[in-house]
Amino acid sequence: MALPTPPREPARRHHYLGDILSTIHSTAKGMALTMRYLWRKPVTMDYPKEKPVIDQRYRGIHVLDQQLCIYCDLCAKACPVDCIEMDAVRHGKEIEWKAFTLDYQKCMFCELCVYPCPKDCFIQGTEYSMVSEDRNDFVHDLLTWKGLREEEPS
Amino acid sequence: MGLQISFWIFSVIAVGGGLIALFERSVVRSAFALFGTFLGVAGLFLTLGADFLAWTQVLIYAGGIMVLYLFGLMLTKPSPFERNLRRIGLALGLTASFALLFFWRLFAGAEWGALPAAELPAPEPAARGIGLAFLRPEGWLYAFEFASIILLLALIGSVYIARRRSGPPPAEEAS
Amino acid sequence: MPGWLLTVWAAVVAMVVVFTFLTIMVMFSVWMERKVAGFIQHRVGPMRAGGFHGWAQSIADSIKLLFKEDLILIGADRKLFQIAPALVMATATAMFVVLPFAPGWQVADADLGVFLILALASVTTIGVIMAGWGSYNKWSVYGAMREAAQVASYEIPLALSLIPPILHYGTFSLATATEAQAGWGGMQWYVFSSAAPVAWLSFPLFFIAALAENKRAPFDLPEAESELVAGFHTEYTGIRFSFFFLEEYAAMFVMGAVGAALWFGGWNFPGIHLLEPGSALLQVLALFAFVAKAMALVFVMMWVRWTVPRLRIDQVMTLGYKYLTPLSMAVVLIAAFWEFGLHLIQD
Repeated sequence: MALPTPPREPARRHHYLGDILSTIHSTAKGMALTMRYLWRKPVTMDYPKEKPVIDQRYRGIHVLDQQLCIYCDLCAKACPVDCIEMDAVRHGKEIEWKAFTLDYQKCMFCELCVYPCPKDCFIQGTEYSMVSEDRNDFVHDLLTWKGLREEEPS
Repeated sequence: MGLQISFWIFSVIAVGGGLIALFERSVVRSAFALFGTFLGVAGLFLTLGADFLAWTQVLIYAGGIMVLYLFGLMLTKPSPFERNLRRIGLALGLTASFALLFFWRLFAGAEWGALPAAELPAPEPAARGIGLAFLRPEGWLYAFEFASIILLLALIGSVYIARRRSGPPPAEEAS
Repeated sequence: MPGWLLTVWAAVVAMVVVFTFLTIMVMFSVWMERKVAGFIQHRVGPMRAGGFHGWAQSIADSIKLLFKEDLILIGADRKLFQIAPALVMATATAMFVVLPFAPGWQVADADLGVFLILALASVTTIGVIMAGWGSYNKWSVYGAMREAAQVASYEIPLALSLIPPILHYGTFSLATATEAQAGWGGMQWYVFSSAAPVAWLSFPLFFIAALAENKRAPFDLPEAESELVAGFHTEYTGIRFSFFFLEEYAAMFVMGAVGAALWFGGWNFPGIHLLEPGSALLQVLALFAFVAKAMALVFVMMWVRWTVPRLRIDQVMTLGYKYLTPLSMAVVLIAAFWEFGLHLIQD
């Protein structure tokens, strides 16, 4: 059984001169448009020399306020890809930090780690630039900002 | 002297192209060798000062007829009997003897020896002369027009042969 | 020095000069194309190489191409594969021989200038077919065949649309035609001359046919990136590819130059009659005028490329055979009547 074919468009009659004129007209319109665009200021941002304006809510590289953190591990547990690791020793109310690392090879910048923090000490900042030739540089130590420093891309 | 060098270079290209075209195994390669021959012949025309003829040779032969040959070669299946070089002996012998006979008769009456350069006429602007010759009634006007009519007939004939039979294309069979 | 050696030496010098000019001009054209494409598309194009708007981008690209690995497929026809880019490059360079850059500054004032250019343009086709076939790649052969069909179809309108200015100036030679446009203080160009309507009719036909001959958009099916990767030059890398690239821009310049010389006055600029013939200032300004006009036409070619969508091969053929060829024949008739027959109706 042959499949039902969609109805064909009614064939338009072609008039020689009319076709030529309409072609010229549409091509001219198109070229006028491109010529106008030629003179407009381009939307491109010359990235390394001009940086974009980043909103405060941007989910960039994390920032930890070490003074406020109480080592509750809620952010690490909330992380869907388990990229936060922390290690510390409690001396009474004092916390002796050994490490607080975030593996940016896994992090998907979803901000789920930020919400559970009871002390509002963990946020995602506005830094986004992270370039390195060594994989180990992507495991940031959020305590002393060891790992990748904010570098100017050259 | 310059004329001699030019003559030899272009002759080598022309004859060499022809030889490659004869003995090359791949048909497409021999077609390209033929293209080389056409260019060599155009060069010979240039050497003799016939510049219009030379560029017409390039335009029509090297640029037009070669494209036709190549289309024909590339778009058709090669025959299994394409290049049977073993049988070439008889054909080669016959051709060579006829060619020798022909050229011997042709050159028997010629005077050999290079022309002193002073005797060669300076090449005139060829386009004007050719145009006048073709378009004057006492020139070759009638032959020119007749040739163009023949080409027109060939064109119409080929369009007629290649035309699609009128009517809608055959419909699908309903099962 | 014997005469023939002098000729050979002159030819070598000319070749070096032409090739140098060609290379610089092509690099400039490629940069211009990328910038024009960028700005038309509301972006910037190259910006970093060399500082000011990436002017050194072409140089960087050429150096990169030189370092690329030279691949030849195992089943490919080596000889054809290698000869094709050379052939294409040679014919493109040879077309520069008859271009009138300035009064007296021409490699050869051949009596048959435009005819030579037409002849060499058709030889380029053979090189393209050779490239497609030698690539051992079905899609390359398709691209080559499409290109050959397209170029062959548009040779007729190209040649016919060149006839009106040739008829008006009575010569194939571009230099002579340019000299004849020196009136009116250097503004008696063909498009402003007594045969202006014919000029304005024939120029668009020439331009469209030239676009199709050069495989430029909207006629760039032979290189259709979305369909055939790169058409007939898919399998070419490094220097060999750069030859094809060079040829494309060289041919664009030649067509722009022919258009400038025959329709827009060539090296003439307003005020040329005020300068002493033979003076250095005149020569330099004339050269500048000629190159500027040719590049202006090249700019228009680029402008069209980034405006009009690509035509399908059947649309290309329709346009060529059903529209351009009859129209150019009609324009030749009109031109012939205008030049020679007007007196017949002025009883």
